[in-house]
Amino acid sequence: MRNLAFIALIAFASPAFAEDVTIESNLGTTVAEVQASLKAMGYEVRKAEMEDGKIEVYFVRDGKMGEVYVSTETGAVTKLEVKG
Amino acid sequence: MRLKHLPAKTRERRATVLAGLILLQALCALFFIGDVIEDFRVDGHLDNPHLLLETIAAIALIAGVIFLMIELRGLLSRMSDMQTGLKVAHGHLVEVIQGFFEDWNLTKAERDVAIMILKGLDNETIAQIRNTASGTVRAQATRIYAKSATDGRAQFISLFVEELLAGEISSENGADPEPTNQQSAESGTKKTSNLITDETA
Amino acid sequence: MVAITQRTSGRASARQVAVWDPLVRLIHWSLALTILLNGAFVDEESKAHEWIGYIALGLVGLRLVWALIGPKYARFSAFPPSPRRAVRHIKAMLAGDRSVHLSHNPLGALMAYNIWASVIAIGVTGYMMTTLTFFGVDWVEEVHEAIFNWLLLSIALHVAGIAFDTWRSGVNLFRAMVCGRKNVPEERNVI
Repeated sequence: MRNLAFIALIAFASPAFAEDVTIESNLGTTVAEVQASLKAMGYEVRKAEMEDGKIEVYFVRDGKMGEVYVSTETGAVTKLEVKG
Repeated sequence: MRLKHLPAKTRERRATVLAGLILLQALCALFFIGDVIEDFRVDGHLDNPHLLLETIAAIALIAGVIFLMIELRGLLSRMSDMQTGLKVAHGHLVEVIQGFFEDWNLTKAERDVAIMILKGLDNETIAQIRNTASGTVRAQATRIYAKSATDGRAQFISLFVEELLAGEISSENGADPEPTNQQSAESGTKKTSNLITDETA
Repeated sequence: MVAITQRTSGRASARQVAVWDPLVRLIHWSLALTILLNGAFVDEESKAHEWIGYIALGLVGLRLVWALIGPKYARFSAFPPSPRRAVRHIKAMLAGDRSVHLSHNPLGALMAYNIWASVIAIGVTGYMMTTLTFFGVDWVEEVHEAIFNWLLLSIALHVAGIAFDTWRSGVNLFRAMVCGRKNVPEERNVI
């Protein structure tokens, strides 16, 4: 329930500008949360799964590809790679 | 068969080096092609001078690979020809031996003795093998030399050595396959030295 | 001249034929190395994984060019892809035929083409994963993995096949791919 509320909040909070994901970002602690966060920032999520105990998401925006690894404990970004 | 070993080993090494170079050049070409593709994907056009240089480099490397491949193929073909040449010479020699023995009208016993002389056995050993007296063998040998118009053991053997050299060279150059003894003595040495310089070139 | 052949054949009654040239051998073992590295040692997400994959593609490409313009035993014509011939070869083996194929025998030929096609498919899907269109797309990754697993199976079969044919034909095929020469037992028919 808490998750759903969180997701709903993110989904309806439409930002005025596209926010960039950075190493500082906190995207959530579950696969679904991270996906929703990224989508809210305007990213297209290509793949989202658990990998090596971390949440791994492949995303695309403006012709740029990126990969992010998020900790399930803190929601912090452990690794971020954006390819032009 | 020392003729086989010396140049063959060098040729083998050369072939291996060529192969290694082909591989390395191909990988370098791959590297540049990859770069060009990447830059094209990012930029969308190919007018960058850096890209032009890389494209030229890739083309040059590919041309190098093709050229070296053709070289390697040629080298391998020459190596196998040499093997064939020697095999032909070997088979040829057996025929030549047979032919000579028939021309000279050697008896069965004389042929056996003649073969053993060619194999480097001395009269005493031949006698032991054939279970006869060494005097018998000496007489047979004398008849063999007379029939073949040779002065003795060394000259008799040299007949066949010259034939081996002449046979090998002719299978490479396609020259007249059956020179007379005199001709093969001269042309044999001349062609041998050519063969040697060819190897070291 | 039976006397001559009997007495002069002091060497082993086998003949050596130079079959696998240095480039064929170099490509073979380099390709095996790339498959080993990418399959077992290199991190799947690393740049090195990508590079080794492209090198593998390059090696297969090089081999295909060599099969067009190379020496006799390396060419496509020496081992055409023919399931029909492969079946005939199996029947011949069952019937006890001990002929020796100097280049790949029809079964080995199919395996060679299979491995090359698999490597190409793996490499191409791998490349696709780096493109914007196919980045993160599930089916591409799944195909990439599936064909890799098929490749592993094929290689196991390949090794078994080599061992089997070495035993059946009496020609040490592993050694032939290392030193290039096949030692064919004297009385064998050679194809």
